[in-house]
Amino acid sequence: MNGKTENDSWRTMGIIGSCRSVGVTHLAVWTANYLTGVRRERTAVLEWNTHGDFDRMGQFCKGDGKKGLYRILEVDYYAQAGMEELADCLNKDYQYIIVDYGEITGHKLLDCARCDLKVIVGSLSEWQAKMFSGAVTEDRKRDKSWRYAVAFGSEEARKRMERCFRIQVQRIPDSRDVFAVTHADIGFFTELLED
Amino acid sequence: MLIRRFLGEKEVERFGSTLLFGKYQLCRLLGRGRSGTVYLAKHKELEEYRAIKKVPKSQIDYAQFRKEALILKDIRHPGIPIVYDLEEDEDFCYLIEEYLEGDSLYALVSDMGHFSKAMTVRYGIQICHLVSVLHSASPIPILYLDLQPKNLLVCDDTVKLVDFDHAIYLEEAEHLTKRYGTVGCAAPEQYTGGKLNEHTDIYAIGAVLYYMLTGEFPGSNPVYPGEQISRCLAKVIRTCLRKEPECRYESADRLRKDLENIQGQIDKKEKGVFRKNQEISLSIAVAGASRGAGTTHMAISLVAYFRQKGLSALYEERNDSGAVRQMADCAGCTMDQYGIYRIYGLPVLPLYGDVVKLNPHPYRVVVRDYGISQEAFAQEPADGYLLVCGSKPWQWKFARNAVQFPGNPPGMAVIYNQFCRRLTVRLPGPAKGTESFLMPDSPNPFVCTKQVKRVFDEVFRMLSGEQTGGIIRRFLDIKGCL
Repeated sequence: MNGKTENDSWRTMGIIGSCRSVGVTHLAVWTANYLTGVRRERTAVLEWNTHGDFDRMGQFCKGDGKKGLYRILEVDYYAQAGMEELADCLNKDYQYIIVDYGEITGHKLLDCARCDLKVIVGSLSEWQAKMFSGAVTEDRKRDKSWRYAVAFGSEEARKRMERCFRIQVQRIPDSRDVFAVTHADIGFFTELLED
Repeated sequence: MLIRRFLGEKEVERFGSTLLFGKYQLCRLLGRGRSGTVYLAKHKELEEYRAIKKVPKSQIDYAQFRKEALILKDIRHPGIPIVYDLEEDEDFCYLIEEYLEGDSLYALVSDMGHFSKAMTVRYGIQICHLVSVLHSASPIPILYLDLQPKNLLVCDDTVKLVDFDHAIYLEEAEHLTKRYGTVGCAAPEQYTGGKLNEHTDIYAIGAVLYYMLTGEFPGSNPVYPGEQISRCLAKVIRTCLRKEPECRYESADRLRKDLENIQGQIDKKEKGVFRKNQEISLSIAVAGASRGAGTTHMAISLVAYFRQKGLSALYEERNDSGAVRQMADCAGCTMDQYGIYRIYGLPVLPLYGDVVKLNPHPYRVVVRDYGISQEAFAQEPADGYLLVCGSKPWQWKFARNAVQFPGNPPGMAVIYNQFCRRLTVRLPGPAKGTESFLMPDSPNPFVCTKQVKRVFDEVFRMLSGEQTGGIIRRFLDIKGCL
């Protein structure tokens, strides 16, 4: 990812969660559907963790197919991907490569930092907020290519977080179906993916 | 002109981090006027767009500024912005209004050239209605006093009136010391200090009608070229532009009635789908014989043609070229709730994936651009089919194959795009049930020129089952082609 030259037209986006079950995979799949459906960008999503969600999703949606790679509604999903799959993606004509890192660990955060755009997904639910603030505190010198987003937790907590850390914490809109993007959702993605 | 505007739009100012009054995120500059600057802003909590007018306190006192808000607060009309709030800080006053989207009449005429008679009359009727709403405001009528093409926005074929800077209550007109107006649209009494009343706005309506028809302001001795302005329309405009206010129309409603009569005459002349006051639902499928044949150009031209005919039509992208997105990005346009962009006043819908769930659009007349996918084009149910072929020698083979494609729908019209006037066109033998037309070169698809209109008139005569007028023969004769 850091070997990108000026001629490479692809863009990488790393999504990482402050802890488990904050909606990293949900956001990764939803963003891919936005990029493909609304912006008509050829998009791949790499599952850079061992949760096995993509295999389950692929088998549920497609029934059969080559294990490890699933095409669902024009998006390519690479289950439990590694360097080989990433190299494969970089050689294909994708315009966007989204990497689902799962929850934060030391080396994953370093990998995520190499992406063009990085999103830390947190939760402000009372039992998860501390881990999110910990993730934000860890490196206060992050540049503007780092984005913060939350789906859960009160609005008051989100605003307090923004004030305390002087960062923008985007609210991820409610989405029952990750395979549906409405007009109301487009504003969120425009802001999230803005340069 | 198009390039200039595209570049101009690209230089739009961005205000990512500016938050006004803790709730309005500034998005971009909408325009600069005599008295202030207007920004597009997003209300952070309500997630709705607002227009924020910012006026320096050095230019205006607060009481005067407040007057615009007071005038607007009593009017409820879809063509007039709602005023939400007034704010001030140390140096500026702010008026927070409803954001009305659209292209100004000025921008439309600059980009497309002057309007057709039908369009002018249609918009003129709406302008009269808006002015009439102000003149009949209760308890005190309102005078607008600065009606001009930059203050009239067109959105979805509906005219909206913005910028109430100089509007006043009729009873205050006598005591007005400072007078403003736009050169070309301001009535003579606005220069001389004469009495201001409803007739002052009627003069401006006449000037705007003249501007729409000719692309110029009337000046002191307007000429009425018969080609653009019919005798009855010239009479209406002349009455509006009389020097003596009392000789003009007595009210905007009276003027509207005369315009409606003219519209009735225009409608009588129209045939088939273009006849007014009938529920029309029409879909035209357009496909190209090869890349570079000019399919998108032709489909957009057709939408511009429909607009000139008084029908609000939508361009729908049914191919993966991404042309609409590229245009929208260059022009800095934003989509509406239907996912539609407005580019030079024409509604265009890009191709979306299956995951995108948008409100179904309200357009009943749709032009679908299938790119070079002739199979998809032929299989899709439509009221009319247009196949676009390039006329350059290296495109002849593609043209022949496309025209003779066995799956072509019956009654298909084949249009040859004549990019180069001096190139001879060699047409393939006519396929059964198709009719061929030659489209003259038209550099700007957003403007429907007379030559383009003539060809589309013929195409629609053919599609509606009427006899063609031999347009292809005529053009071939003129150009000395095959």
